[in-house]
Amino acid sequence: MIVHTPDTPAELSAIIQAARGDQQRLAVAGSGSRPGFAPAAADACISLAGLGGSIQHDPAELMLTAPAATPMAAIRPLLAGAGQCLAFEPPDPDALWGRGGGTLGGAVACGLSGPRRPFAGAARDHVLEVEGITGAGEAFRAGGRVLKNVTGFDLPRLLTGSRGSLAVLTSLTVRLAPLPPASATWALPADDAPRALRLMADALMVDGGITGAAWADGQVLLRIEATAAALPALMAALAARLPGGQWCDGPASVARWAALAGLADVPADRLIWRCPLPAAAVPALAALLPAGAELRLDWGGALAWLILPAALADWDAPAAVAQAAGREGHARRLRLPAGVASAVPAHSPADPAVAALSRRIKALMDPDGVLAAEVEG
Amino acid sequence: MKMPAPDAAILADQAAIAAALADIVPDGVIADAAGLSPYGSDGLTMYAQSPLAVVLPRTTDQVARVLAWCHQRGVKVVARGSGTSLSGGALPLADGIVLGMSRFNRILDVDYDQRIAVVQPGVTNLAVSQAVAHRGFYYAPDPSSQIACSIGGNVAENAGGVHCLKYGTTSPNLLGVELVLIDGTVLRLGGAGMEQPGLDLLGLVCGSEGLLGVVTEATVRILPKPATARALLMGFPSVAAAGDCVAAIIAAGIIPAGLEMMDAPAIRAAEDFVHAGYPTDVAALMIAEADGTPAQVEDQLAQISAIALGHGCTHLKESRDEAERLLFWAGRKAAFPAVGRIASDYYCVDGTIPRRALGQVLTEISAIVARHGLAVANVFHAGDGNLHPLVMYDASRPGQTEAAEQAGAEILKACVDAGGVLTGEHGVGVEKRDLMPHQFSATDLDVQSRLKCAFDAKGLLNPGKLFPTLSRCAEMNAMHVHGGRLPHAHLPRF
Repeated sequence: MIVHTPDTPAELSAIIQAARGDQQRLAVAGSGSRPGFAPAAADACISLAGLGGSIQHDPAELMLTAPAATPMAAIRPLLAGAGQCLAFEPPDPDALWGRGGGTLGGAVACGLSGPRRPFAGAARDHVLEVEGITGAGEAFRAGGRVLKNVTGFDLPRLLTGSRGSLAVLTSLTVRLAPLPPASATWALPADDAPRALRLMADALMVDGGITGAAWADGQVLLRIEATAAALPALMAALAARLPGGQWCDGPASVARWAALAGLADVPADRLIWRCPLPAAAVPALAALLPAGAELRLDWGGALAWLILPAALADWDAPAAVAQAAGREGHARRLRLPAGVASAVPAHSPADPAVAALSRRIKALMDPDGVLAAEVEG
Repeated sequence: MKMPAPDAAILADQAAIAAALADIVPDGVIADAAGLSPYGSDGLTMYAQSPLAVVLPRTTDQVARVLAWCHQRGVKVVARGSGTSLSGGALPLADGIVLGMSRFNRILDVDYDQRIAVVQPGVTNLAVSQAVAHRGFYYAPDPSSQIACSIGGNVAENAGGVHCLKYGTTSPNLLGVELVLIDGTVLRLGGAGMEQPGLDLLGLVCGSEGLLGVVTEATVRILPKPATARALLMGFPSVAAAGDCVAAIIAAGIIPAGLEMMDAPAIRAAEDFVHAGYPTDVAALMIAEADGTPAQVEDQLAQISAIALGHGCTHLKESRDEAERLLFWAGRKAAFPAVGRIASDYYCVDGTIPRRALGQVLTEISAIVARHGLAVANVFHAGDGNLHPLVMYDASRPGQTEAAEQAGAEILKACVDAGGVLTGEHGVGVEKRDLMPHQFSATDLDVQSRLKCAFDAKGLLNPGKLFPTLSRCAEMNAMHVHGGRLPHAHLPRF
């Protein structure tokens, strides 16, 4: 396949304009780290690796601007060195797919948020300004390089998670947060999903510095992040309210949450379904799971992971999520192991009225359907 | 302020239009001059316009039928919550109806296990916090008008407040809406979950200033109240020193629950009004609030105090108890009415700048206001760079209203030129509409504004707001045909 590698946004614009005339469909290649989000078939690829620009890190303004192709592996240590981070804790795609840590553009275009999502906001809440080229070939900028901005329609939120279906993002400005100086994780036994939900809801009923609430391997995991001076009292209060757990702290706690977010321990031969849904729907979903399926929870129960052996490749996760959660639940298959086929669609069907509106937006931003990624409603 | 020319045929048909709408909402149509007058302005009282009629629906079905009727008949619609917009977002149109959402005033559901509240859009911001207070919860966004402003209006404007730096504006606290489009289609975007599939339409709708649809229900996040909160009062000999202190606090990895600043005129006005114990011999006053457990609060205030003293802080006072914390805030929260006592009129400007530009921009603001023969007091959400210069004028003196408007526009341009934006939390509305080209290129504006065509191709929802010109939707929606055939003919098209 042809791979276009423009050196400037103007060249990228020209490539898109030419594709409009030639009725070509283009896919944005990124670094290929998230195959679970690969767009539909295309006639040619766009690599953004040739676009110039450097990382501009402004610690005092809590802001970083970088070209879309900037590797996350370059951003993480830069921020950590300044005691900062991306608060939405973007999961490392290398753990899930083994194809590298991806780019900033990929992290924003896919819009995945990690365990801190209920406490610090989602990916879409941390994108302050975007520059890009629409499917019509127009160079544009939206948002602003300030922390608080309501000027105009909120295109940064619309474009985060749009998977390159509306525009090719070339440069991004993201909001930063202080890296929590200290953390600890309280692990409580919980044999089933209803018990886990109860414990997480109880833990989150008071303000206690919790920034992670997950359930995996029969344990509810509650993470506290704070300054070193404030941490002991928060730990003591949580242990007093929900006794019977065990502490893990320091680097072990940090590593535990990185692994949880990336599902690093899931064997490569398993299917992985990612299912955001109301936490209240989790018990109904758990009751529908076939033998051999593993359920994990994050976001206090509002994110369910379904991990299936190849023998369950044809088990209909979208149908189960729809039965449990109605229109407020959604399933997307992030991984289908090599050599495994499935008759089940890769994601839940969209609500027809929302899908129609999304297609109208796509037609306004990409009138000739040059960008191969479709909108899913 | 130039608004779209009214449609004479619609104006002439007022009685028939009101009668048709009364068929849909029998006890909720106002069309007499006296009844309409309270709806003529919102919080931006410089502008007033009586609407064609006011419709006060009670149900989503009524909203859908009213909008579908207006869509079919070509009648413009301005949705209105409590009418507290400071940017003219709810300013009526002579040939348009006002859709007042005040009867949507019920809290429908509160789920403490999922930490959400489902509310109707006419519920006031403060009422949400009050309804969940007995369980130790609250709703975090807290615009100054929270006693009156509605959740629907908050969603339309993506409203902020003094605790945004730590807790975010409305958008991060909004999980779902029921939205009625102009053709009467009822959509649900998001809900009790924390992520919606596909395009983030909820994110696009929040802050869209009534141009895309009418919200008839909102699901918001509620949070457990911090165990304790304490405030620090810090006086500085110069605004620049205070600005440097703000930068140092953030750079040290501290995100206080609130970080506010006032300049000398604002300090004196507030102190004379509220007697909050503010030092009146300082050039800048900061209030920092820490919340959380006692250990967290103590730790954070100790760090902030040390940084402040290292930046020339001459006056440092920590609130001893809840009463004193509230007193510290009372002065700041009363800054607007306090300025209202010393000036017959004031115009509240709202721009955001990179914090490092604070000293430079405040100097420019002083020069701009002096050039117009006016005075200014500045209050400032320092933590997130959001400025509120209060330009004082006397509307009874010829030319002063125009001078205040002009000064406001120049201040906002100065914010943009310093790397900032036109509005941090009040919205564009009519107020900043014509300044949009100063911040965005023609293409930037076209890319944004054409999205309206996907929701409201006839341009009936809140026209004349937000964008100086709108894309012509018929042109946008025309398919590009090459050589007589549609590209990708196999793809589904709407």
